[in-house]
Amino acid sequence: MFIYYLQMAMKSLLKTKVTSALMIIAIACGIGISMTALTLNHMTDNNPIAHKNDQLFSLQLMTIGREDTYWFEDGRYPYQITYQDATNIVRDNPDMKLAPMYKSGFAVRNEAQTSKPFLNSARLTSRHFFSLFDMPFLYGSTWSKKADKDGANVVVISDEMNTKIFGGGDNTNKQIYLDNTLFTIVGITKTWKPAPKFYDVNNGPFQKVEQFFVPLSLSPIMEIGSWGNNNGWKDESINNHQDKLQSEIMWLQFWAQLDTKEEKEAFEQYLTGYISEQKKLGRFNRDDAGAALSNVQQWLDLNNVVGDDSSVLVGVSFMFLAVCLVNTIGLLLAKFLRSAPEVGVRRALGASKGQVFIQHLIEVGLLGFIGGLLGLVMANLGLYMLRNEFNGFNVVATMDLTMLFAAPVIAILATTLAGLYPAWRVCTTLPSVHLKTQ
Amino acid sequence: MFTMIPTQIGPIFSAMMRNKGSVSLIIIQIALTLAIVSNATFIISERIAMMQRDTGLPVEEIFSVNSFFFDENIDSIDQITLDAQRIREIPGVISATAINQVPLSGSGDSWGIRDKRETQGAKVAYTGVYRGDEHTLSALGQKVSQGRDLNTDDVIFWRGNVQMPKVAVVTKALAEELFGDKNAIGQYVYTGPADTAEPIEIVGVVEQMQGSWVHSDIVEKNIFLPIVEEWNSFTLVVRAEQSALDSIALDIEETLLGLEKNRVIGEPRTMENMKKSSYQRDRLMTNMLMIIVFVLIFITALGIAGVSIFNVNRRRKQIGTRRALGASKGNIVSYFMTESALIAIVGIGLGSILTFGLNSFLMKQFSTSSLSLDYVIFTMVGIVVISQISAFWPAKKATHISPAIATRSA
Repeated sequence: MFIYYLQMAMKSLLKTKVTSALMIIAIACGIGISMTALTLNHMTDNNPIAHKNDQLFSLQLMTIGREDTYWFEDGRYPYQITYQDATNIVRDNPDMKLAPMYKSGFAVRNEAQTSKPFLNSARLTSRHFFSLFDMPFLYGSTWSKKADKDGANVVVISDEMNTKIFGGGDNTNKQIYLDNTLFTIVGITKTWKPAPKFYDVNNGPFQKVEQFFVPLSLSPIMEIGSWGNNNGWKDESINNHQDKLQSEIMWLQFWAQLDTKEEKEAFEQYLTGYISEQKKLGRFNRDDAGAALSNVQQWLDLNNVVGDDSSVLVGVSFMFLAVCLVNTIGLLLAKFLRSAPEVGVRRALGASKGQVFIQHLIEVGLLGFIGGLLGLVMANLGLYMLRNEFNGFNVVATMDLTMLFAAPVIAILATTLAGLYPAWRVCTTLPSVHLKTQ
Repeated sequence: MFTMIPTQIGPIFSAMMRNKGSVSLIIIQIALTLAIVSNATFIISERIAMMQRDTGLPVEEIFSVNSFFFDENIDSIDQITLDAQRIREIPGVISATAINQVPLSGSGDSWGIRDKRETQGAKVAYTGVYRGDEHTLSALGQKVSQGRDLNTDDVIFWRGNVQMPKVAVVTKALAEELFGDKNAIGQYVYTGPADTAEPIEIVGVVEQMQGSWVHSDIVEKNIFLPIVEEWNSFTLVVRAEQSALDSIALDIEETLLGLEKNRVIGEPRTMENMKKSSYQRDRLMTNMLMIIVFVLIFITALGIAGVSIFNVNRRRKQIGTRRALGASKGNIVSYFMTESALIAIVGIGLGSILTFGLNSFLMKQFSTSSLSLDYVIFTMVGIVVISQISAFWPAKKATHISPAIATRSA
């Protein structure tokens, strides 16, 4: 019976080619534009580590020591913390899985210094970084506890860099130059390019992901500067790197793995105690000094990764889709009522109201399906043009499976919804009205 | 013909009432269209206005390139001075120098600059800070409109000891924020901790120059400090004649490596590209909204035309009968045009509530600005015009319906 309805639907659409074409185009335009905006929104609104969302927490500290809030909106905590706070907290909690970090970069050369040096960003962090963010090692492992404590010229690289420098293979214990210093490779990880780069959103959520990792403990020893943001509220004299390490400048990110509720509460208690201790030293000089822990999704929301523009575009696009659908309802109404005589004959021959209703809904569904497919093509064309026109849109302006399925599904659902009223109108017409000789 | 319109409204209205379904649909469509198009065109014009602001920079003449030293034996200050000198000699180059940040690039340094040595009670302006030698202003294509440019004697070198220069040049916006209408030349500014802050005299004012962050409030407030720093990473900013820019940028890596090979030279970036990148999200918004507006108007126009054709066909008998009773072709046309205008007016009335509702939602959720009435009125007029145009052809077609229909049975 369904196939029969489908055949009738097809015949009916072909009978009124112009009207059908108009409806399909209207739906396709609506779907095309909505899916383009929705894809941008959906891909940006991505949580790359959703499975560990409730175990990973980003730490913020309200260290700004005067009542004004520098350049943050009222109540909002700064996004980064000071070097002294990061190292203090790690030192006080040696058994916890903590990853303080910041972004820097080096000129990379092979050991023989025969390769052309290239610049690459790098991340200084603790040995726990890789287990925190589930980065598997292809060869080797993270560096030792001693390296974390005292500093060591060791580096973990991604497989992509491994291939670029060596052509692949197990190259642990080989050495490379980072700037002018020889580093030993202790581990090679599977390449991971999370989009957005949630653990450090400071310079933009879709910035290039670092492929070199070295111990944070090298920062005071090698005086490695930051390639990220540095925010200072206090008028301090910062003449060199050591001054910066002891200052109130906020330039580090800090992540903790807290597997259970108890662990989180224990850590929060520790932080409260830490802040009161620091207040005695004259720091955290404000009444509402405090700490905040956000899980990954909360952190992404806090940083407004999706962005207002994206949400506005989705809203306006779906309103546009609504107009296309209202348009379609009008055209469907016109078309169905024009074919009312034929419906009258069918009803007189025994078709029930329900059957007429279903038949018309299937026709509407078919319309939605065709319009949805065409809309999918239009959306992909739109996304293709966006990728070409704008920088850094390669990940965000590409449909994933969810979006590919969403397009025809939304089209069919929306069109069917639109078709309810016209289908109802046509199935309630009295057969007798149309059987009279016209 | 116009005297007949008031008397026509009665029958038109009752005809519409008999056709509630399709009339309501068009009214809803028009209402939504008004809401979307008014708000969208408003946002578009705001974004375009933002993108078209004068940058105060000769954007097509400037590019920058990063130089990164990894060899500690190289004296970076000597090297970049040599680099800049050599680049200034290249034919086509107007000026070049090492600098800490590039305007319109999206990244840079900002400091609090204040008008008193003490921090208590001082007026503080958050400012973009440009540090370079005496060629800084010319490399950025800037001229002072008051006072003088920086010169060689003003320049301070930071080799380990950080100390503020005695003079600086500021943009007018910064001067006005700190000193109001007073002449900024000869005033003093301060930065850093109060116990060690030395006065910096303003010797020149640049009329207008945008800084690194185009969407920020501080974009017009910038200060030029004659400082050359000993960092291992430098940005060289080069200003060249527009026609020569691309080829100079292409050769720059070779030129610089030729002067010192123990370093990494980054990809040169033109200021034009930086500007484009900075405004990327505004261009995206503008382009998508423009497509939506255009397609929406098109679809609504088609919708109105479609429903009008439908109406005409449904009322063949009525039209034929009226013609038989003496209505002229003009009467028929004006009947349908009036009907279409009435629908449009009701749609607009309903739509204006929706429009301001949408705008206040956008304002609350996304801090867009308050919709200016011009856009609403302009869109309303546009909708009426379009609905009249869309209804015209079906109305014309209606006039061809033969009066003879009236005499046929049923």
